[in-house]
Amino acid sequence: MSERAKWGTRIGLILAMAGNATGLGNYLRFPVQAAQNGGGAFMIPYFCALIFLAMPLMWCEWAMGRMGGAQGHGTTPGIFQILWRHPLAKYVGIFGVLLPVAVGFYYIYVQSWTLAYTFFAVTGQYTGITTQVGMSNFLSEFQGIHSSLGVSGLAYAFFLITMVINSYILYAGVQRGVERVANWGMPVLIVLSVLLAIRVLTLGAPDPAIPEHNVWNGMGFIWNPDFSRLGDAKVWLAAAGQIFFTLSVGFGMIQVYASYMKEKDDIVVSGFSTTMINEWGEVVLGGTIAIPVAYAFFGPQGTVTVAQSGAFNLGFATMPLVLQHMPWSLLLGTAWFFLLFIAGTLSQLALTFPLITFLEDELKWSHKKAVVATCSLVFLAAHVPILGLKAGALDEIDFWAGTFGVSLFAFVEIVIFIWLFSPEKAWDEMHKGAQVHIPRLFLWVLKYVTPLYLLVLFVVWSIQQGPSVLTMAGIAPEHIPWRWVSRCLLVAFAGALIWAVYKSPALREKKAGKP
Amino acid sequence: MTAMGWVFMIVSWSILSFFTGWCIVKILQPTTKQSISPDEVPHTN
Repeated sequence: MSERAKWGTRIGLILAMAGNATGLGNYLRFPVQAAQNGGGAFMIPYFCALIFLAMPLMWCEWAMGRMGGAQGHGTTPGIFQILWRHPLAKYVGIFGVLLPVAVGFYYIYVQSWTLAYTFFAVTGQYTGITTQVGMSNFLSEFQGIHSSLGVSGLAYAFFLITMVINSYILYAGVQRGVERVANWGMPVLIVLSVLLAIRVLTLGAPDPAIPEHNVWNGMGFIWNPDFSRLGDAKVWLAAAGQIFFTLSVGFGMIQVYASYMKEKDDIVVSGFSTTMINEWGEVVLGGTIAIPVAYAFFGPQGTVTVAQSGAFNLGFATMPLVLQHMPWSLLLGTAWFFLLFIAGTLSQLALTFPLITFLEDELKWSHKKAVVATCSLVFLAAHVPILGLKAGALDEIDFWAGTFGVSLFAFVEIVIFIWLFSPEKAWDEMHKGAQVHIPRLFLWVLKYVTPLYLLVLFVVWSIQQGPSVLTMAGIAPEHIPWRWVSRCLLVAFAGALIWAVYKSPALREKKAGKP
Repeated sequence: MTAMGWVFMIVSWSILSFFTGWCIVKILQPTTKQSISPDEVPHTN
């Protein structure tokens, strides 16, 4: 077995994992979810989901990854085969490669928007646009969704630049690429977030004629608790969904990064640290920037409209509009979009890495060949969400890979690790080299509470969204072909992975019972 | 912001800041001397 790459430092690994988790959802999705689901009271189901859903799953994924990496398998096809001696195990594991890379097909395009808007902020391209409609039109024109091709030359150029940047980092590898970017990217991201949060909190009331439209009332918009909402099951589901998506569990990509650890490296504190860095960034910083500042400028009714218009609109239309009304608007706008670009880049690298690791570990390809193949695939496949953006190709991939797929896969992986591998062995695996013990209560949580939590999430999301997505209800007839292209892309990718697993020499060795 | 809003914000921020701080302290500690052998981890049943 050839020597696998390793992380250079523990801090580098934790920052890369935290960068994986920290994304646009921390700054855009969380404040909207909190404001819409009971304000401060939302934090009760949110912390419950953190303790009983996310933390156990996080430790499981770290442990699975480190265990697989020690045996030369960094992705779930190989890891599942170690945990569950069944011919189907390696085929079930393909979802740990399919899901993150499929999300990466469209996420790279969103990442390129953040780069483009950083450029627009620096050069003052949107300066002078004074209305939400005007800013939304600016975004549409930049994207080119009303053009004959469905994409503008400028948006495509930024996509290509982003593609080159990502490919270069991925080619540099785990230690010289991802770790190096995380080592400077995460501190920069945190510093920019803190500066923006301080600026927002010291804003006061921008319009002296309406003193009640101030930032602290905006904070109240997120934090004032509405306890009556706690009886609503939707609020508990929204909190679980937010925790689930923000920590990037259930994709199979945490295992990939963890597979590059040393065999006796601690995972209890490291996994907990990754979670806490992400949560601190989300609740303390993410909750302080977008919604409070929107409230200060647009008041309660305007903020409700902003929150209902979705996270993308909040990030790319409302925030640039608001920031240009503030002193040092150029600097603040640049800081906002550059921090989104860093968060997006670290997430996109983590989304793409599983395929590189799979090709290296299971097909024994060189790193160079694996990176070229992966980046070529992402480049080609990204054209489906890019050209089909108006038709909702991005939403179609997001539902199947990012919602349906991850909730099902998270349930499957915890059943394999805890029940099929055995709870005691899993518990021991988590504690190899551990700096501290996990409280014993969590063994019981891992066995019963987390799988049940995940099963409920999967069933409810599937019932809520599945039938309408499956039947394409409400989709304009001219958009249906792009929806089918998106589905065919996912099926073709899954077929290619099944074929690769079937042909894999490394996985065949395991089947024959060789070490 | 109401008094309860302040309470929820301060409690949430404090919990997360405490555990984030605890993690930073633990990360900066050397791990080798404190590692727990898997043999020391008791089984549940």
